Amino acid sequence: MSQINAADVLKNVADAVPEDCRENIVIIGSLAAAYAYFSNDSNKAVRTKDIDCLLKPFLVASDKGEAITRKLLDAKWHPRLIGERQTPGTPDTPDNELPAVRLYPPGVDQGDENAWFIELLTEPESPKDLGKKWTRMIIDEGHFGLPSFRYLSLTAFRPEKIEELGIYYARPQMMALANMLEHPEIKPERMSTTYGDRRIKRTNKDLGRVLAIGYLEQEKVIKDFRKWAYDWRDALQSCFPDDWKNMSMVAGSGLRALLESPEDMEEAYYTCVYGLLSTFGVRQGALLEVGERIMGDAVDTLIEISGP
Amino acid sequence: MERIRYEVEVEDTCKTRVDAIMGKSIFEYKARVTDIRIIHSAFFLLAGIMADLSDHRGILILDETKISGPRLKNEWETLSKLIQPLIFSRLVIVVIFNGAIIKKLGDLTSEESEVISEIQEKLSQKFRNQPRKSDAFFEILRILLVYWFRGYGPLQLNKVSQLSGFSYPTIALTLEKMEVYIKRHSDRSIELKSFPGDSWFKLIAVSDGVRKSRGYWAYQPKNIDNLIERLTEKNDYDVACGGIIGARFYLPGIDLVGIPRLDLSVHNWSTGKIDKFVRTLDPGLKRIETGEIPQVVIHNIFRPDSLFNQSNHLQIADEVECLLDLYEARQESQASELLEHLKERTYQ
Repeated sequence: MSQINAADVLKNVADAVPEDCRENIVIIGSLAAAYAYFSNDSNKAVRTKDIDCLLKPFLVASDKGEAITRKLLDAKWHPRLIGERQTPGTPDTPDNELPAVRLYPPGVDQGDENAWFIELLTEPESPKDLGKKWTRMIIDEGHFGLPSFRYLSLTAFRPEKIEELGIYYARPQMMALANMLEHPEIKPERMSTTYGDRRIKRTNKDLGRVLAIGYLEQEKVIKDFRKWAYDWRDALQSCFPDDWKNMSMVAGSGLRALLESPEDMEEAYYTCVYGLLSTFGVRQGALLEVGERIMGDAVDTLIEISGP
Repeated sequence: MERIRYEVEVEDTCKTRVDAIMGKSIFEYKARVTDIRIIHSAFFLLAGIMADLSDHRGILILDETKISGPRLKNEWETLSKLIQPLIFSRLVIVVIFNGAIIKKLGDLTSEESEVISEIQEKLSQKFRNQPRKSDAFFEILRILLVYWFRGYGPLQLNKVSQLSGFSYPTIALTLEKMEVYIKRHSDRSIELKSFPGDSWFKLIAVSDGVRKSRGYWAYQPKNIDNLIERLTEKNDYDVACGGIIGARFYLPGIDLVGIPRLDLSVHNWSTGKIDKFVRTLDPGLKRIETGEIPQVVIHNIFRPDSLFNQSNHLQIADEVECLLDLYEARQESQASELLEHLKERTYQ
């Protein structure tokens, strides 16, 4: 995986997409977190391979996705030829079997250790959407899909705008909440791609991201996670008006399970020092401590302010 | 869940009193047990009840026992041979340390597991309220010093008893040991006539053992001001600031820069309540292990009167407590400065 500077990569992406689509792009994932916390520090980098671009609102996501893909392909960006579903779908391909749009910049060899690609996603159509859904997108080359996950709408809630680029990035606390809700327990499934030479449980990687964000937050921004609880409540009320209270009650259950499992915690720690915290000298105990602060300050406060 | 009743007679037995009952679970509580015979006695009491009540269960809670895990296991095995299996299978021993279960012999039901902490908290309160005779000398010395520093004048012996929780004979015996510094009045009141230097140095020397302190630390410690902000939000009148903050209250011009650690004094709290409180200050704080340097220290005061002082928005621990905090934090010169200031003020 490449060690990249978040500000440089986001500038490349913003320059490459159609101007009238920038307003619809929210960068999510580790690059967004890296931009939020150390875009002004040239000594800090993040190790990642995928630049996740969430297209919003859902109503225009398909049109905007088509326009972005068209422009990138015309500019010689090229598809990722690794993993399943490398070829475009047809009108007969079921939505959930469509390939995602994953494109490398021109001239980049995808076998290169430092190569990165962009991937297009969207937010769910409705708060009732459960699990992973695919939205069809049609271009001359064939049919593609925009994946969405139930809690991605949280990452698109009041994102921060990068004024000079015209695109947005997700607020880190929202990515943390989305990951926590996505994993109410430690699930056994392991990721298909490796971290170094290890195949990590997806839950541990995603909840590890919560800890990494928390670590950076207290290093760079706040010392008190209770503020997150109020941001979380606003987002949950807006994105899930019917279920927000129940979600508030269970938001911390997966993270608590992680903190209490030394084996899973070690995997989460490994993903942090391999990825978002690769240029920080952080100890596992410090991440555990951050986890306790997120639980005690943010999660407990969220439960308290969400009422009975 | 069924209601917990404390110190009740068990029905259908010969008026046997137990520490707590919840439904058909009967609890006996023993704190700081060092003698195995106390365990035998409590265990056989429960076994006797189980013999009478075939659908009940008996749980013996051992709080902060000095008896080792392997020794307890041996005793458990011995008891299993002495007591009928039908009775023994309904008995459990639970060992609690610092408010958490560290060992179980036998199985608790889920309901019993849920209430163990609550029962321990409640029953340990009674135990904590009983002052230890071995602490009498230093506890009474501390009270006399605080009264002397504050210029409150002579103290009636019954007032000393109220403040310290010790009986008249214990107080009399203690006063004999510091007779040279004591001025006795005709109305049976007493006061210090001068600073008891020898006793003071003894107190400093043994204060780590006499005081009940718990230290906490974090990898990324929070700013002390941040912790104090949280403390004031809580507005809990059982908590007082000691250490440097207290020293500044008593001597605003004291030569101290920054606050390397936060000393807080609480009044007769259980260890569970202290840990819960610390979590509200900062959930990232952890108990120190031997050799680690604490960033937050909680000192538990057991005497009936806390002798806390009121500042603007905070309570302040008494003068002696603050001095001991400074010595404990190795801030000897600041402690000496504060002590001299308090003595001078008293002699004026």
